[in-house]
Amino acid sequence: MSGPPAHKVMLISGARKGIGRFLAEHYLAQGWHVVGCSRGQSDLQHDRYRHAQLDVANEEAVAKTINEVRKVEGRLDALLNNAGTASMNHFLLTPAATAESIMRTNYLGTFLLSREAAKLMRGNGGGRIINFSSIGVPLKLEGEAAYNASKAAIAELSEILARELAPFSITVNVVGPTPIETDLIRNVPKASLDRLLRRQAIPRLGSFADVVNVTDFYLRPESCFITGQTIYLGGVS
Amino acid sequence: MIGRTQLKPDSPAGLNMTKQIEEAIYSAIDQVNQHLPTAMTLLKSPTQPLMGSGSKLDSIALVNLIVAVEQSLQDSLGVPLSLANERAFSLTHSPFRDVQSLALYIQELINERASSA
Repeated sequence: MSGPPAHKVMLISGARKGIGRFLAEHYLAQGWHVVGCSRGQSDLQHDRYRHAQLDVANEEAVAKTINEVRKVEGRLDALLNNAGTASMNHFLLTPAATAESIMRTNYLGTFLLSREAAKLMRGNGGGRIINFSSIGVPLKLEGEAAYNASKAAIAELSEILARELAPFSITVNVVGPTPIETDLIRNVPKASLDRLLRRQAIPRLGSFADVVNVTDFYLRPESCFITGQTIYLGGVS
Repeated sequence: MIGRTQLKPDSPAGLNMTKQIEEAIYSAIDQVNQHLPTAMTLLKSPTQPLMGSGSKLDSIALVNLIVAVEQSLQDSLGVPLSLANERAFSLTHSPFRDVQSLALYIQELINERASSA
């Protein structure tokens, strides 16, 4: 499914910046038609790129966006559920509104986009869904209870979707990145970051290319027998 | 696309929508039948069972049909409906038991959507 497809369509959430933007540019360069989405506008210009502004936790907006993909592109081959939000705080000091907001964007957004995308993929004989977890899940990081819970939920969701969507030839897999130089970790204190990195087998920040290496793997035609799997970067398991 | 005005089923507009709903379901049946063995294909009839002991559909085929009906309704009426909502599964008599009950259920959802707008 990787390589220069004739008319393969990919949807990437959180495509305005960071990893999502890098993924969009990477797969555009490979010949994919890419539909990006985010709450804000994108300045990415490409004749095979379209951008949809939406809140991924808004059920009707997600259904509308996928329906537009169906009308304009006629198909959907891959979904990269990259949109995510983070907040670090001690559990005792975490407001309910923060916990709810994180769960809505990270978990509910992944749930809704996967559900509507799978409905469309079903019609074109299958597809690939790649969800984004975090190495924070296996590392059980203090101060990230709300964030990690949402990412653990994504991994669990993915394993069950892998089974439920297998009859439709849709694979569902997960990549668990390490910290990468993005806005998501901008406010993480250096001491906390260093402590986290020391718990990785390979103690360095990740790169966008590290993440793309995994998504490329999940998208390969030969990976049609790989589903319900999570690959954590940095040697964490 | 229909407006968000509640329609009485026996009004001219209501009858027209009933017809469109029926056509949307039959269009979905056409799609699903393409992937079913001949002996298991569905009839385009109001009394065609979709679920339960009289139905020929397995669970995956039923999922396929429901999603195809949703897409067909979106195309013909411009209405984004999620048919498999909590209410559908809590009703004593499932709206998915046959074509007729499904059409009535869709009509109710559309009317509810119109009245809540």
